[in-house]
Amino acid sequence: MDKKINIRSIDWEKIQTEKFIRTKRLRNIFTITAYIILTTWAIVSLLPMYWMFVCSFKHIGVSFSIEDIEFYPSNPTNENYINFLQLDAPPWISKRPVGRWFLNSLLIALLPTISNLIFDSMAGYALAKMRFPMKQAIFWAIVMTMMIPEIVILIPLYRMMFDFKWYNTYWALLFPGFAGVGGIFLFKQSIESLPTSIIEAARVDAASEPKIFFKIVLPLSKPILSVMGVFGFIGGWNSYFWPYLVTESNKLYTIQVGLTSLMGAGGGAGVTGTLTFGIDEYGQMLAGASMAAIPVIIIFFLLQKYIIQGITIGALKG
Amino acid sequence: MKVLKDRVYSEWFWAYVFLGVDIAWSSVFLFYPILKAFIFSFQNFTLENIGQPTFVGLTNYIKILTDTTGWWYSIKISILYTLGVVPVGVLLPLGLALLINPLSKKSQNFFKAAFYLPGVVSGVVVALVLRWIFYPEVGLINWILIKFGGQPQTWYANPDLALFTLILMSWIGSHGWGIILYSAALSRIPKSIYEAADIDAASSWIRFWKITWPLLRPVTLYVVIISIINSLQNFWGAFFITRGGPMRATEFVNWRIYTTFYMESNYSLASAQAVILMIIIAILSIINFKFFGKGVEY
Amino acid sequence: MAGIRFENVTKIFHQEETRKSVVAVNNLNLEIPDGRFTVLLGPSGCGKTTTLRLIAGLEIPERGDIYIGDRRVTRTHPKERNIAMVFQDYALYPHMNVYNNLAFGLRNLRFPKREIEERVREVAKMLQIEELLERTPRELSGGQRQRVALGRAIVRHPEVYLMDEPLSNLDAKLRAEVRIELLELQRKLGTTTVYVTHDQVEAMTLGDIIVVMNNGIIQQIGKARDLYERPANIFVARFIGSPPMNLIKATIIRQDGLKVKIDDTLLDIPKEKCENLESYIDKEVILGIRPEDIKDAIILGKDKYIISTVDVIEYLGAEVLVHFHINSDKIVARLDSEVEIGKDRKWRAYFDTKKIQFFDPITENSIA
Repeated sequence: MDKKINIRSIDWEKIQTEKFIRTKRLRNIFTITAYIILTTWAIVSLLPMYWMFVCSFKHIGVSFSIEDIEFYPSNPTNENYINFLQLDAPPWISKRPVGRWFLNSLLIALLPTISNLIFDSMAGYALAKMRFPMKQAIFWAIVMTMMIPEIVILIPLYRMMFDFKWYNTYWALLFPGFAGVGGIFLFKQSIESLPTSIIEAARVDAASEPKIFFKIVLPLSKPILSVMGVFGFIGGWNSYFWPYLVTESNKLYTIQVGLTSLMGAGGGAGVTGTLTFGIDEYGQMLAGASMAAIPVIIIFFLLQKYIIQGITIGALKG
Repeated sequence: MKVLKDRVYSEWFWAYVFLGVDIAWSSVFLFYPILKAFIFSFQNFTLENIGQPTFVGLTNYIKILTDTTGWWYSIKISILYTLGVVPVGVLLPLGLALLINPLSKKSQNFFKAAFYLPGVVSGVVVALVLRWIFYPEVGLINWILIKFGGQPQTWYANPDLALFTLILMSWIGSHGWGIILYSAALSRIPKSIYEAADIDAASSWIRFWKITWPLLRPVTLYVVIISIINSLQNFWGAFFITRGGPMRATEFVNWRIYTTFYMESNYSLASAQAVILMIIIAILSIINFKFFGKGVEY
Repeated sequence: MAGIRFENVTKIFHQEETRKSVVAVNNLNLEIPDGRFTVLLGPSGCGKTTTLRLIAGLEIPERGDIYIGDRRVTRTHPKERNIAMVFQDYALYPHMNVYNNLAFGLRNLRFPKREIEERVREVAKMLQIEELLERTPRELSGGQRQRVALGRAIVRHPEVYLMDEPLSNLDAKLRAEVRIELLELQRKLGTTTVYVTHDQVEAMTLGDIIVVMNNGIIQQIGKARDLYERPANIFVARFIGSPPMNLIKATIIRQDGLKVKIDDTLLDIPKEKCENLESYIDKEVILGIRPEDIKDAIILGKDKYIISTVDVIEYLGAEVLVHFHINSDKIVARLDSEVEIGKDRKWRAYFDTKKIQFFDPITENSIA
């Protein structure tokens, strides 16, 4: 009987307060630790980009040594950029067409993306909301194709460019990317979540199928269009392997291919040298790399909302 | 257009119109090349006999599958790389996402952006910069090693270290993709489940293992599969930095296929290699689904 | 304006994933009269919405024909049917303002701009949504959205209005108000209206004609009173009325004419029902009686009663629900006054035999 605790004699308030303080302290410790770890990793993660920009403003010559490493350029110089763009090269030297490279990169980032937005959203809509024979078969064909490694497709496609006499032309650079299956899948996922009744209401409202697509579905798909647009642009700008395979003259290079053509690692058919360039060339390479990176970094900062949204499409349900 | 008067046929018609451009395009630039890859793989198509390749049956496949010093060596390198990359590529994002999740929205967005930023930059640029950071004579890593009293290494130029260097580079590289996926999944777990667990007096440890981890399984499955598929096909380090060397230390599968295809112009052999790689990846994906796939919905 | 006719219409859904087929509408023959308010009533999955969508042209039947007026519309486009529809979730176009929501259909039908403007203003005035025309659906309350959805249908001046549970997303108070407005509106416009609902109160108050459906088959067609007082089968008896009709196992016996035996009590059967029950003598039937037709025998001073055991009494203010049972049959009585229940929870229940119904226990159809 004496084991029975008299509930009234316990100071519940005190216990509650102590517990509250304890949890709060624990939570604070956790938060501080979290911030330390996250900040450390954020520095590690951002360091390469930071280092690239810093070093692109440093004088890096043959005499550059490990003792010269500083985390900020104490004597900033723009010589690397001048060298990369060959601004001070004598006029009789045929310069590398860096402007063309940027233009080509812009083309490969924009044109296929625009075409993909139009045609993939149309196909995605058909698969998401329309009823027709072979729908399931077509959808599965698309999903299966997405699983196939890129290299399987690239080899025959590369040979086809010769058969088409497209090798080393803009056709080869741009055309094969004008429609894809990955986009269809993501558009389908996204358009599926639009209420079917809206589309049916439009049908009852005497709208034709194209009108339903352009006046109802497309305006309601702005988020996915933005996401796909951003990813398409970044993907196109960064694409390397295909432009590298099908271009030979340096007028067709993209900025990525142009950079590696300077590295000696590749760029254009037949160039199979090893990565031999040394310290003295690294300055202008980093300048070029910075210039290639800046457009996508700017886009990332302007449109990161869509990028973060886009990553989860297709991976998470609902 | 009498057929369009009929409600059902009209819908079919327009569905095919909407699909038409993509299907036509994909047929030429996707489906046909896939078919072509299979055909190539049974031929002897090289640069020498561009006009008249002949069918050689399974010769290419037999050649590849019996090639222990070439093909299977590359498979080993790629698997070693995958084993080095995937666990970190899954657990690190999970850990960071768990740390990010309780923070304020503003902090969350800041860290997500910081972690994702390196991911938007092209492979060429990343390779160039990482090579610079690991540069034996003047690299930042060696500078740090020296500062902390370590021995500078030759990293990617050292046959014993080259593969590890590439793995290390992947660890430093972008984990933003995984972090964002995991933190999106974490934020979707209803708070009420944790509150119920609190009432049941579950410790944080139990909360993680009995609630968070099982509910994250679908995302984990996705991240694991995608990471494995990507790592097995990875060769940017070999392409931009090591060129398969030194002393064949980084001869990844895709590097082998690339050299067979592009440098040796042996299209048939390369296609057969690519088809085998495709089959390996398909089998791994299926095993993964069987292993992890139970109870994927939540 | 026009009536609607279904001739042997069957609609089957094939589920691609499970490879199962569901017959949503089974060999339907139905005449929906011109200019009236017809309600399709039934539980979810009974085929009522499919029937409505068949009229709209959103679904196409596997077999049979559908006529609007004398036009056969079985496989034609919604836009060629001259119908308008109000959806359950309203399906307003979220990216258009109210004006454009109303005008969208007219524009598709290539009405001149001036007429569109006139019609939209007229309807907006009629529904008192004039000041909302510039707003987007997101900025509207549930009730306002409902009006816009209604307006979008009215503005078309169609031959037929189709309404798919248009009140189900409103709260109870608003629903009662809109119900009355809807009725007034239909009376004023006089347009054929087909209205789908699972709510019997809505059906009874709105419908000139109510079509009760279950499993894709019509159970009964009639006015509200017919359905309530003379349900064609056990399904309708159970579905209409709240609490539903009591169904009690009973036997018909001959003793001074026909009598129905519940437990050990014999009840008289009204003369007009006797003829139909001749063939059921000494057989089991299902006796149906509405809760309000069961009374307290003591208070009424009746000497023919059934002694039962009371389970629960629900006090609802204006009325009292008495739950009791006879053998295994659970029964509810609705009384407007007090009840007298003995200490042993025994209650003397008086059945108003003039109001009882009989159903065949196997076919479940009404027999008398």
